[in-house]
Amino acid sequence: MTAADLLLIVMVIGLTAYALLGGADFGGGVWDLLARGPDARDQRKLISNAIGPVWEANHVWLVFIVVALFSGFPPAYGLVGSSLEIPLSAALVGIVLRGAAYVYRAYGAGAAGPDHWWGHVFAVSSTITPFALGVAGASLATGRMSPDDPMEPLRSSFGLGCGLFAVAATAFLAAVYLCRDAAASPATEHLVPEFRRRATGGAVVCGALAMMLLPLFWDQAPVVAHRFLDRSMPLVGLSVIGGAATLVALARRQFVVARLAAGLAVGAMLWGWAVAQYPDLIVGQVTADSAAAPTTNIHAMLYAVAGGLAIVLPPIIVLYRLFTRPEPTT
Amino acid sequence: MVLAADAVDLARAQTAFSLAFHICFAVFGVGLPWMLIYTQWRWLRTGDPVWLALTKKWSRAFAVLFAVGAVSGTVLSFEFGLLWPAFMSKYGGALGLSFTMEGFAFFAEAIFVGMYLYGWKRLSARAHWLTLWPIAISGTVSTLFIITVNAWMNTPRGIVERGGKVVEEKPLAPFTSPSFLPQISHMLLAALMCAGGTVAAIYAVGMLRGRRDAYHQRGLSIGLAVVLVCAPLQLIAGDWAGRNAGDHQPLKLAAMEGLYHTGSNAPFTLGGIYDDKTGNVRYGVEIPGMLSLLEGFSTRHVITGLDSAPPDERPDGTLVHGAFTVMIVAGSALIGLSLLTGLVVVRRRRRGETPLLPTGRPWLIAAAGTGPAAVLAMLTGWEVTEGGRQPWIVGGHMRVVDAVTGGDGAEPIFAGTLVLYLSLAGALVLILRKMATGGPSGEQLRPGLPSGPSIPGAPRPRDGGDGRGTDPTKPRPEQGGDSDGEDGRSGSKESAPAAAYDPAADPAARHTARADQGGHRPSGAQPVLVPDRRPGEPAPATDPTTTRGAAGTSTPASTPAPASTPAPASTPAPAVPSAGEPAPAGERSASPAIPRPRSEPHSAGTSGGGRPGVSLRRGGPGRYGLFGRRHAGKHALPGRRPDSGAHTAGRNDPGETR
Repeated sequence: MTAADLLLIVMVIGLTAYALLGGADFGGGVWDLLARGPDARDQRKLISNAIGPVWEANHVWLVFIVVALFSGFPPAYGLVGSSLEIPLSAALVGIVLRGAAYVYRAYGAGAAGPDHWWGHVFAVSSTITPFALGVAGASLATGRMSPDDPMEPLRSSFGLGCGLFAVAATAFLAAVYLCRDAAASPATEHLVPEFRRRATGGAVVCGALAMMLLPLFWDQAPVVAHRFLDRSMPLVGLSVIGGAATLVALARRQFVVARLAAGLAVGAMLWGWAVAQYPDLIVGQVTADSAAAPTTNIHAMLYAVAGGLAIVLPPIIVLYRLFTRPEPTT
Repeated sequence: MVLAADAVDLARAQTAFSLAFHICFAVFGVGLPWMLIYTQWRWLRTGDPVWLALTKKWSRAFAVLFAVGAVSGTVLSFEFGLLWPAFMSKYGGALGLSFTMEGFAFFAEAIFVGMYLYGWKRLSARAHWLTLWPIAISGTVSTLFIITVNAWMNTPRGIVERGGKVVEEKPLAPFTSPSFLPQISHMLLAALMCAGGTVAAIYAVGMLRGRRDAYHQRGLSIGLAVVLVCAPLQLIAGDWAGRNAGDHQPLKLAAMEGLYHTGSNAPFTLGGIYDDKTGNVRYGVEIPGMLSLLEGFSTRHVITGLDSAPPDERPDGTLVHGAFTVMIVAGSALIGLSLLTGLVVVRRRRRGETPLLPTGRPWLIAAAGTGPAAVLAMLTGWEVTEGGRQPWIVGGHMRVVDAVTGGDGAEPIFAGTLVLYLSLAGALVLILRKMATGGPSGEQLRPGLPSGPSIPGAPRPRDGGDGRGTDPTKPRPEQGGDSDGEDGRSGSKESAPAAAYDPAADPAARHTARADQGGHRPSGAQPVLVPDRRPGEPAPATDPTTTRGAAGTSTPASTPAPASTPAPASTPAPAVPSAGEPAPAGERSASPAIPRPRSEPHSAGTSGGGRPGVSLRRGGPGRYGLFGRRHAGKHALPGRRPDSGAHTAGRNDPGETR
């Protein structure tokens, strides 16, 4: 294994963290968008409270991936930047609007328009971002992207399907996580059944979308699909087990277990893709080897990443532990 | 290649705009945490609600600024690839380490910001304060890492290219750039000045509108202290940066000065418009020989002019010289104000006058100008750095035109960025404006109460006097029942995050202002933000309540007063009346009576003896304290206040609401 491979593994770990943590924050926005009924306001509050302390930290995983990509594989980044202009710009708009709208709603006190406007902005932009990132990810697998035709990623049915899948997966994660949050406090316990239903629905939708995407995958990303068949089946198995375990745990109200299982389901799927993608970064255009920065630079990166994670991981754990319980009320 | 030139201009405009947008937030991420460390520390030490009010207000503003800064920073990291793919493909490896380390610094910052903003009740008071340190440090350090990248782009080192291909890049290359140290000192000081100046400006405007209470006085003092202490240092750092440019980027220096002709006895030119065609500066003030003197300490020193490079390798003298002039003027004004204020402070201290900072109208107007001046100087300074680097994206290695993406989506994307950022900025201004008006939690002065502005020297009559009508969001205190006024207002002013820490509000209710208002309305009647120090008052309430109860027991025991305080503090309304009164007696002596905001067991031990010493020590120049704390003590009006105990007590939650 070369240093570049190691860096790739680190990047996929970062991507997994982003999907499972940051993704769930976006999924919360999706449920904010879909909140209906008499409990809608409570649901939105629950979502907002859940993501408040952590969304910025979760978001940094994305920065981490981008930085690792352009430092470790500069030519790939150049190509990604110029060919995936449209989906990435859309994702950025979503990211900017999501973050701004969240704090404007939380801290604005209506000074810049009613809170619920910002709430809608928050919800819509939270949905756009995973969709756009899903489209961008699919383009890496199909390899159908070029600087001359920035619209190309949007014309791929597989790409659009992956965008939807990303939205569904984040929504599924968020619903599962929110069950635990809702159950933690008596004030929000009445929301549990609703989110449990949504989590189940999310799992079903994810499964159905995955089935529908399979033929498209085979058709439009044959290279990766073949490798997927060869290499990723154990991971697919894990993912399925994770999904099933999530449903069982939800039914038995074991919400912490459900969280872990849901993370396993989505994470295993992501790794399945990553394993199948290797050694291509962009299928047919850039491989890990051809794009890797000089080894000394990658070594330096790896040391920096190791040191950085050593510094950052303990506080992350403290952060999550700190905010798992409902706030003391006295 | 007309189209390509357009693409370059668009990409440059977009990068410049996004960077300028981001920097305006980033400087607060650097400066505010350090100031918060100070105010919150003062609150921990004294239990004085005014410090808490400042802390909470600033932390709310910081929350918004940080979030917008974070997302706009993400945009930048993408834009490098979207707009400058060739640049990133070629040099991404060299810059990787800096960006990676910056990423982790930002990571740490984001984690602790989450803890800080939402941890008021979950963390002990001291632990909560301690979370500010990593925020401040990582904010500062991430600036440092980013500057390494920029310094490297200006004066690259540590790469070897052969035939247009990078064959070797030293991982630490960005740290070895000769521009790094001058740039980072210049930038960090600028960041502190922008944050301090903006804070000072906001409170100066508040005071100009008649809110001359301790809260505004201290806010102004801290902000001014930061900006005015940094200003003279900035002169040194700026001089260093200028010399560095002279050594390593002579064309940049020439463009800054609008100097066309290489030669000795070069003039220093201030103002005017550099004319590209004639190589002269029109309407400028020229000091003959000054530039040679400054750079080489001799008029014979030869300064490289723009004529030393072919026209297509020169930076745009008009732009760079113009920006440089603006920066110099704004910076000099700040330095002048700094020196003047320093003199006056020294004089007032000698005479024993009380707020050391002069707060007459002209002074306040000048203070209100420090924020805009600092930000303007910072932005134009960046224009000098980046404009002076042109036409290179990596000095001497890659031209900007060769780094750009050729896509034709640039125009709509730039237009979209403009619209998006400008509307977000507009909304943000509205929000910050609302946060800034009014007192600590939005309530106004209540001149009718005995506890008017307790800062001596503040012209009291003004309190109710002005600000009238100018600001719709601040109802006049005098009119109508206080409670009405207060209610409506407190509702409108407080905002959500407040609720996050607000015990009264259901934790679940955090995010909406509505919920928040609900929580606070009852406490609306507690208005006055007054007095400097109300030691007896447990305002600190918020966080440590539960724990503090325990710790507190030891304290109250020593003096009769506030046995019950800690608890009531958190739930504003009821219990408190008992509290407060006896204590005011001069907190210093009565310190044990002050319910310590801290909850740790050991704090009880140190509190009695330790605090006064510390507060004195830190009080600024001498015991008078730049921030007037000494006087606060003196003027705490112990005698007058007792009856207002109820108010006082109730009032502490404005603090909570921040």
